[in-house]
This record gives sequence, C-alpha cells and structure tokens, in this order.
Amino acid sequence: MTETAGPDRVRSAEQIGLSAREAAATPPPHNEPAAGPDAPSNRNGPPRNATSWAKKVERLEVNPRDGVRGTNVAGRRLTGPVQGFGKMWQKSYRMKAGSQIEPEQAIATWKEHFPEFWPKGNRFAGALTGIKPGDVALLDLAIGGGVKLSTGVFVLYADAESFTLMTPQGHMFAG
Amino acid sequence: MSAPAITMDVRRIGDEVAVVDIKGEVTAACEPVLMSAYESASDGRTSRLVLNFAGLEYMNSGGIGMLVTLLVRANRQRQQLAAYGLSDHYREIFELTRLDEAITIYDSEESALNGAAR
Repeated sequence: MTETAGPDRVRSAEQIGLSAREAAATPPPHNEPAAGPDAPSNRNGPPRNATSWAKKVERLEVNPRDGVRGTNVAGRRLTGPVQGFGKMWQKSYRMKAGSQIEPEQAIATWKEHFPEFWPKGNRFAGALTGIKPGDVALLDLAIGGGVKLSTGVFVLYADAESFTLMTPQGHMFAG
Repeated sequence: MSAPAITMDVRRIGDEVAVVDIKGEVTAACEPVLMSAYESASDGRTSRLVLNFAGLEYMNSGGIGMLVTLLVRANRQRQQLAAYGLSDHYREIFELTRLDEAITIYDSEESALNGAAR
C-alpha cells in the first residue's frame, strides 16, 4: 500500500473523498426522474442516495459495547472542515487489489470485516449491523507505552462503493 | 474515470462577485470542472463566490469533500463562499457536516447577492 500526498500536492479526484473508489463511482441507477433545474417540483424530494447519508445529529449518542471503552464521545459534536483537520483532514492510500475484485465486493468485505483490520491492541466496535449511516463506532487505540486512547467516529455516508467517517470533538484527527 | 455528469457556468456580478451555476452530479470526479470554474471566477478581484445549487441532481460524500477543497482554496485567497438553491436534504447535509458554518446558505440568488453586498 502506498500513501499519496496530502491536499496540497495531490491533484487527483481521490484527494478528498476518503474513498478513492467513490471518486469514480457512477451513481446507482434509479427510476426516479432527474431533479434538474427543469424539474423544480422534485427538488425538495429525497435524492436517490438519501439513505446513504446519516441523519442530522446535534450531538453523538452512543450505546455502550462490550470490550471497548470509547463512550466518552457521547454528547460531543462532530467536527467539520471549519473546525479544522490540520494536515490530517485528508489522506489517500492506494493499493492494488487485482482486477478481479469489483468495488462493491471490496467495500462489502471492508464493511463486514472492518473491526478485524485494526493493528493488534486496537479495537473498533461498530454496530452489530455493520457500517451504516448514522452509526457511532467506538475505538480503543493503543498509542504506545501501554496507554490506550478511547474515542469514536460517526458514519457520515455509506453506499455500496464507499463509506465516510467523521470525527467528533476531541478526536486526534479533529485538528 | 468516467467524465463527470456536470456543468458549472460562471457569471460575473460586478467586479467582486461571481456566481457558479452548478448543474448535474457533484462527486469527487467533477473536481476538474469545479476547479476550472473556480479559476475562471477568480480573476484577482473576486472576493466572494456564490454557488448556485438549483441544478444539483446528486451529491455524495466525495462531492462534499470536493467542496471542502474549494473552501480551502478560497480561504487561501481570502474569498468568501456562499450558496443558494440547496434542497432541504442537501441543506441538512451541509448542516450535518458543518459546512454551513463556512459557506453561508441563502434561500435565493437575490438574498445571496444582497448578502454579498454587505
């Protein structure tokens, strides 16, 4: 796996979306009429990817989960770009997975096994239903010297080809 | 990567304000289109960019991320960003991601331009 330069140096579309595949993703087919400028009556209806987005929350609500602390993010607000990500607001990583794997397969596997992909000593506890929009996943992270850092992340967006996590106040990526 | 299904046309309103009419699907794939529109709208005098989302058909989180990049670039040039024409759904997404704290949302072009004149 290779790390790509940050936003000051990367010009590709992958530079932003936390998911390189999402950059190239063709929106899923749908039967609804396009809500373009000539169809203003449809504009306030939900878009076809409405269920991929989390519902608006003012503060995070957290359900305790076995084996992970992380509930300290309960009641915290999400941090957006205005609040600052510093140089950590975006990182792109690329790896070759082979030509036989479709984006949907890769993301499905990633969603299903995401808790297993963390380094030893770290714990990611998502909802039992997997990575779904609006979920708050709890994290216990080993940061060295036997110290554990407990935090969490909010699932902002998830579809068949991508998912996006957003950090709350106090998260080490939250600037 | 497939060509983005989007157009962005720039209209100048006076010397310091430019409106970008966005029509189509906003994903990370349309970054070249947006950045081209941004460069067209930024001629050194532009202090405020107004994004018209009335023609927005679809936006995913990659599109939100792309707007963050636009925001970063505009901030570096000390330019303000405003938006209008957002549907209720996407207005809520702006609020959820707290983009609305950096990109002021208006109900109409007139109010966006009046806000620009303040």
